[in-house]
Amino acid sequence: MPQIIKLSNVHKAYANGQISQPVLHDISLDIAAGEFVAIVGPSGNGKSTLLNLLTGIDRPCQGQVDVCGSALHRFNEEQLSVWRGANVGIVFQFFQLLPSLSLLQNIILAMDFVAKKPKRERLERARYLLDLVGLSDQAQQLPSQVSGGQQQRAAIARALANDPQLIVADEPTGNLDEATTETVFELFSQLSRQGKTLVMVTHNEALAESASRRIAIHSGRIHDDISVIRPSLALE
Amino acid sequence: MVGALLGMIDLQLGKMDASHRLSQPSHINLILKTDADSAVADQIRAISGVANVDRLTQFTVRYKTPNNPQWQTGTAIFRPDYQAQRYDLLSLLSGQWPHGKALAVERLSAKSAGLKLGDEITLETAKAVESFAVDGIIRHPFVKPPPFGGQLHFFVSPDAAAVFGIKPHTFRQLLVQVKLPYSEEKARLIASEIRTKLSTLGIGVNATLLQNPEQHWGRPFFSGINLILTVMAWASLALSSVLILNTIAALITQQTDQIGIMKSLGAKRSTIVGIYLSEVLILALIAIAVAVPLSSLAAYLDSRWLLDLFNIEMDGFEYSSRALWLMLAGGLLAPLLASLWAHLAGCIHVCPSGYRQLRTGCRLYQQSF
Repeated sequence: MPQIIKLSNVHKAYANGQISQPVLHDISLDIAAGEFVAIVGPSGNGKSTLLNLLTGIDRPCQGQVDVCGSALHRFNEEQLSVWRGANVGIVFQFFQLLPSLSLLQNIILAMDFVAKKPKRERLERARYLLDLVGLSDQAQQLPSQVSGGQQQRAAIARALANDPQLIVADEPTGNLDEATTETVFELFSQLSRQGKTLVMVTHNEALAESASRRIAIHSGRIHDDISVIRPSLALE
Repeated sequence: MVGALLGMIDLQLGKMDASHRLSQPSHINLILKTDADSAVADQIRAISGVANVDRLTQFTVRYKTPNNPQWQTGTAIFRPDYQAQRYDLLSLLSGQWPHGKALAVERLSAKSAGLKLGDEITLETAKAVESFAVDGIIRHPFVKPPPFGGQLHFFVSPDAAAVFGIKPHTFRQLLVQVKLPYSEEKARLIASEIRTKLSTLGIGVNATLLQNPEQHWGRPFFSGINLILTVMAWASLALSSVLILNTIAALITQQTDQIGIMKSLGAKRSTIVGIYLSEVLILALIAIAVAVPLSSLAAYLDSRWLLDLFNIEMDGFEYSSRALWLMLAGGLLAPLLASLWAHLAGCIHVCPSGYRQLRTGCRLYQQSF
């Protein structure tokens, strides 16, 4: 499989007043298209920073970040934004749906920003995606009118709006109860089976175990990188 | 505030000047020490640079009105022919021009003293006390309004003037227009020539008044207050711009996270700025839709009241186009520029600590500009 993510000798540090606080040390990482990767590790050890580098939200201090065939470390902010819309779907812990828009409008808005899909297809695709996550009957509801689990499913539908090659999720079940966590598990597994590349930061061990690869980060270094051939995935 | 104040100033000065021009104002007004006759007027008319002359006599009278039995001092004006006025034109508003023993009352005087057509006014004449019927209401363009300390003004016919000892075909005041184009220097030179001429004819001059034919005589009364009002208007515009800036900055700060989300979805900087500017534009248009009619009405009502004090009537609703354009420009530009500034200033907002996604959103927002 071709590499969709390639990190080479990446260093990242945040300035804290006069002091530079290193967060990631010499990270080199390859992720192939179609992989379902879980990034685990204790809080404050650089997981989210790594995710921010993969999505172009942050820039490395040193090293190269190549994602979906683009050298992100060379892009300016505007290029990164355009690239992000076209190539990455982001799922946040706190859903981050725009509160004044309905679930349907939230999904259409993501397509409007990128304009990858023709205008006439956007409504139909938004309805299809809501149906895919089991929310077709909640399409006109505002985020505040549905449950947290339903909001997260809508956020996943939004992440899929522009049919991105890569889906990045930051603690997607961190704010959900057990029952809705199951639904999100199932959705991610389904996306993985459809060939999407998923990179997810999680503290949820069960969700991490459902991934095809598990990367553990400690003190800003890759501590462990385990690929799992699961019978259920292998059979499919 | 800007529209109401500047609109009022524009309407007020514009109408005053227009009314002034319409009255064919004399350029030179000579108040004579003794009576002069029409032969003197003809000689003055013949002076080079004089376009034409008009004549009148103004004298003090003591009067009593039906509403006030006390004797008071007023001014009577006599023109040899009210139908053939040339300068400082009087306008008949109701009733008739003075005739026989019937007199006319100036509009502001009638309003102030509560006089109406048919009322009887008692005047002290040269030999007795006589009653005169009010048979006309006249507008005089240059009387001092009674609320500002002006006296009541009456207009009398040649017959009535004779009762006061004024000889027919004589005058005490000479109104002169110089040949165009008018300049104050030219008017001053010709006034000097006229005074010399009158002197050779044995007629002294008590006072010589020059007046700009384009600008109403009441302008100086308003110049100070208008200056203060203009400063207030611009100050209120500056103050409201700061308030708008603060409001929009607060709104933008509240939406930092939302802007970050939009960036994470691939929105370009121009798209995000466009969204917020559109929002601000809609709010600005709503504000304009409310402010323009209200301030235009306020400007009209204030102007009407002030002009009425200066004996100028406004026929119907009018507005100042300058004030309108200023309101439109200020109402649109101030919020839009404030909004742009608020977006740029947003770069330095400190991210709220706490939720990781909020930080992510904030970081994206900061990177946007």
